[in-house]
Amino acid sequence: MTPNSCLLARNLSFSFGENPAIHEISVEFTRGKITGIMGPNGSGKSTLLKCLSGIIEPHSGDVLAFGGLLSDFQDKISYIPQKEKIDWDFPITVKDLVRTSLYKSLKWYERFSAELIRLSDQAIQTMGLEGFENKQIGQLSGGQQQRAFLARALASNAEVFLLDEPFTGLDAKATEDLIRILKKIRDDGKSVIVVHHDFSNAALFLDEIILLKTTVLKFGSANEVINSPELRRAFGFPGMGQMH
Amino acid sequence: MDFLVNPVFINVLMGVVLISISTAAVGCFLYVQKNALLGETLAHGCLPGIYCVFIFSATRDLLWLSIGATLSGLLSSYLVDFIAAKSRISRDGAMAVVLSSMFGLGIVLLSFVQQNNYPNQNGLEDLFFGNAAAMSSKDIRIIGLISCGIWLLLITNYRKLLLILFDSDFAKFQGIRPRLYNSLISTLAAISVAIGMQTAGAVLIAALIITPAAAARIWCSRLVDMILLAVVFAIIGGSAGTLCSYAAPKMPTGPWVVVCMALIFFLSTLMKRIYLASLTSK
Amino acid sequence: MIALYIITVGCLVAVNGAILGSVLLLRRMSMMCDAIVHAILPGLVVAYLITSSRGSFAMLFGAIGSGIIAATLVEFVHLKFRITREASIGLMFTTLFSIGIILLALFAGQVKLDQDCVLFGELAYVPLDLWITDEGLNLGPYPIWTLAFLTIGVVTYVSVGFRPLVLCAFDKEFARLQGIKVQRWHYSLMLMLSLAAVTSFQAVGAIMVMGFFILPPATAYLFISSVRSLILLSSSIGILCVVSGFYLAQYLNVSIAGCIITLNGFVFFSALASKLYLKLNLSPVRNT
Repeated sequence: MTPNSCLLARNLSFSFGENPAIHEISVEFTRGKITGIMGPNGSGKSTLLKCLSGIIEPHSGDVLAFGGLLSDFQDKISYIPQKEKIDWDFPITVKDLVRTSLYKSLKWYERFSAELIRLSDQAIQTMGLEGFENKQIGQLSGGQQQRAFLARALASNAEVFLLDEPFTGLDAKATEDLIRILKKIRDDGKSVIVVHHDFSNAALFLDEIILLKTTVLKFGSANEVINSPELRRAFGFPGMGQMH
Repeated sequence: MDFLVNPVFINVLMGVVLISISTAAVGCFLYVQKNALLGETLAHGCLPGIYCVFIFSATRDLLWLSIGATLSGLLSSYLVDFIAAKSRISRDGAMAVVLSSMFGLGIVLLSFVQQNNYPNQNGLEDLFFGNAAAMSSKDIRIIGLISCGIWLLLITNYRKLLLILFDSDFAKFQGIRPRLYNSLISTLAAISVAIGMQTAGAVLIAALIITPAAAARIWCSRLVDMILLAVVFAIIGGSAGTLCSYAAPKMPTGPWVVVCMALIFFLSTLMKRIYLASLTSK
Repeated sequence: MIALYIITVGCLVAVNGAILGSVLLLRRMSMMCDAIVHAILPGLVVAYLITSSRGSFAMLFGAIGSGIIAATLVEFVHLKFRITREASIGLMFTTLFSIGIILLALFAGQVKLDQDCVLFGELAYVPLDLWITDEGLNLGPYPIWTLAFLTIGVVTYVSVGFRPLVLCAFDKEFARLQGIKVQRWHYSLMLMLSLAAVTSFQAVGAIMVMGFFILPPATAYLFISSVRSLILLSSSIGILCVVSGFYLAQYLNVSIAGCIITLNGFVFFSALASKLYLKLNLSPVRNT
């Protein structure tokens, strides 16, 4: 593992029953880059992301983080779930959501210290959510909802941000905002890994792309992958890059 | 105001309020878990346990019957999870399956008790509608203690419970085991149903879990506020219900408590409408 | 003869339950069944207070009325106040049931509806409720006749509504686009459910009847692959459990309805266990 990498997957495999979702995947994710995991539906994108985050245990292979075991660096890795996985009616405000990332450092009787409150307020500010702190999360717009979860990840001091289809349901303006924020996170020296399906704007913000179809078809810089013959092969017909 | 010094009334009032505040708090957690009907399943699932304890020990002691009830309630909630996870039956179907089979088993055991002339069996069928007046002051002490225990566990684990309910993947990152805390919620629900059974009755204890939480949910955008408001509603509803049943002779307490809580719910929705209307007209 | 009466009544209840219960299970509305069987109580009491007769048409209307009111309120509270559906179901049926109990207690002198009878019913009393014409002709117990009419109604309803009901359960949006009145079918199903609950409750009790609706279809659902076979298999399971449950109850000297339901539950859990065992043998890797 080179010192320049944040996550390293070695021979990862995971299957649902008889069907392998991902098979023998070995990838090295570079620090300070935005990496896209792309591929057709059912190619195992979300499964790979979940294995990388440690939410699910791979059936074989392992994940290394910053040169050590993933479980030792779990607090450096934050996972932002797919939108449909979240109960937007849950009675929780933006402020409380961001502060959930700090719960671990507190005993049940301890209150938030001034330092922790500053940390969470700063994260809210960075994501441009001032004035929405006391709103219930269901009352936010789609873009704000994504940013609220990113703020939680920021507050927890994460180094690696894993996002599963963050652009689903966002309009053009919100997409642009989110891209700007992801770039900002990268420019602060953190790493971002995104499951993404839209090739039309992939080159705009992704530094590297992993083309996935159960196994890694192609891994390289964004332009390299988008113009590669493997891309056409993955989607089964030419010109797939213009879809969506 | 002579009822304020009537010991029976005070007893019933204290019992009902103590039960309502613990069911209301647990109910809020079940509500956000989208599992509000678990209370109904537990209430019916408790019956076989109670009758088994009675058949084997012939005791009517609240503590022992509650232990039996809790155990069979836990078995029921485990079975619901098992069926929902291992077969293609939905959670809703799994609850109905467990509820009706446990109820059937309970009826078989009850008829067994009745056929075999067990001593001391009068009032066992009170479990269906509850008989608050039958509570002794020893029962109140037990209920109070268990309620305190439930609250203590909820307060000390509040943040963890919030995390696993809202985002269990994130909770896992934080080193919290979702299964452990989910089963904590089921266990506390089973215990609060078990101690409430004899007062509110199996058929109506579900309301004490659902109604205050639903009435509070309309107003609150934070879980902790929701719990506190639900407890306030539960205390008001519980006291009002006890008063109503005391005012008219031979009136069952449980149904009145449920109706009072439902009134609070509808008043609360009405107020919310008026509040929203006043906001938009401004 | 007594055994024959009881088994016939039990089988009729089981067949009705299996047919309606299959539809409910497919629509993921099993707990709605629990709600409706509780919620018909106030309607029954009010109908009884007005007409002061048991087994009249007024009771049917009372039950249908409060069943429909319950179903409407559940939808109303769920949609208007953003209360989750389960909570709204739980809230409505407990409230209606409590109102029923309070009415029973208020008019205890006038209402001869026994609480126990409403809840548990007793199949053993079925043969006592004979329909003897003025000429002295014995036509057998009343419940057989009412249940027979109910069965005809339920079979007609499900045969007529088979496609829309299945489609609504499978894909509501598609059904709506196809021009099916989803709401209308929902409420008609609730109506049939109330009707079935009120017709069966005198024989098996209002809450017991739920077991007849839920358990056989759930058992059958573990094995079948089409809706038709679901209905057929669950009816057969229901009938088998009624017959064997009756004799088991005689042998153990316990409640007949309770025994039938317990047997149904036992069948379900053994079916689930054996299925899981077989499945484990076929494919040892199972992930969640």
